[in-house]
Amino acid sequence: MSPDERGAGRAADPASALGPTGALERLLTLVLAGLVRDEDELLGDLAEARAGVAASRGERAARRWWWGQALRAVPRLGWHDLVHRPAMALLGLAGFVGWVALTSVAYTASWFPTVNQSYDMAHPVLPRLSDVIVATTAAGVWNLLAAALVGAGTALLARRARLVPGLVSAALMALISARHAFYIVYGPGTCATSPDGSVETCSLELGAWSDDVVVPVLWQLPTMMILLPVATVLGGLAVVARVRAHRARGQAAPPR
Amino acid sequence: MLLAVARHDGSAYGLLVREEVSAERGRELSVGATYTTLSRLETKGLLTSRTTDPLPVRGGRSRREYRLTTAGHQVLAAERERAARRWGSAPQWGPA
Repeated sequence: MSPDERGAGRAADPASALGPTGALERLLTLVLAGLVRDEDELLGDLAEARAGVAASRGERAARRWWWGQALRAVPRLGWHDLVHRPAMALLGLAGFVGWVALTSVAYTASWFPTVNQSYDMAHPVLPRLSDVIVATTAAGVWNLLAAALVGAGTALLARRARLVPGLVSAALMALISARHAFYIVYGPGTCATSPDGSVETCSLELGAWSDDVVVPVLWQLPTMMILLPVATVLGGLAVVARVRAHRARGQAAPPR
Repeated sequence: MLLAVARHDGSAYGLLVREEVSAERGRELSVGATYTTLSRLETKGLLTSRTTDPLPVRGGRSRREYRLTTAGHQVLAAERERAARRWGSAPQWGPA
């Protein structure tokens, strides 16, 4: 952008060219705000340059320019803070440990609707399909809720670039979700045998870590590998939005 | 990047630096790259910054204006000396 364009940008109507106009633009703005230490610097530069492009080439070109710049900035900003601020990576790691602790509740708490039944070989008791669906849904939703809590918690603790630690947690969650079936397992567990070698009882387990994975990886990959990071980022974004709203209210309030 | 800040010492901000560097390199530097580089130079102690009051042209957001520190000036001076030494002994090619 030339100095003339910059000057034209100053003269342009700020309301028409400066701020994000659509819901997606507002969401991307929120993501950018969550990745930087000083959102005024980056978002202000984007807004100022956008006004210049709008004045010289029109609003459509300006919007295209803004999207291009904003999308290119997201990975660079996230990577920058991860590499240059090790505390962010450590906070993300702590968030992941917290998430593991939270999800383990689903398999240990008595009130959680996982299904554990025993049967003998003569009278197998298989769970009803509705029980399977309830257990699967409850465990899956709990995992996602825990991810969102971790995203929000790490965003609260990181005083700037609030989304960055959550990216570490989300990446680790996605990684482990590819290795373990932690959200539904449906199959025969271990069988106990008597001293003479005959089978006494066998257990059937649902909703816990197990090698008896019936739900194929093809089901798990597109759900948990995508949804866990999304839930983590949404939790972080909620905190970023709240902090920004709080700050805006503080700036709008008249000085006492 | 340091040279661009030095040219507008005290009033250099991201967009201005980006334009200078883009013109110098002959291709557009992204806003994100400018932001992260300036941030890193400040962390290294080569730049210092201050924020301005909110400006209408930026949708009510402030600017962060950069200035070279003493260490930044020293780095630039050393770089200039190195370049002069490198090119000083080279013969002149083409019309002078």
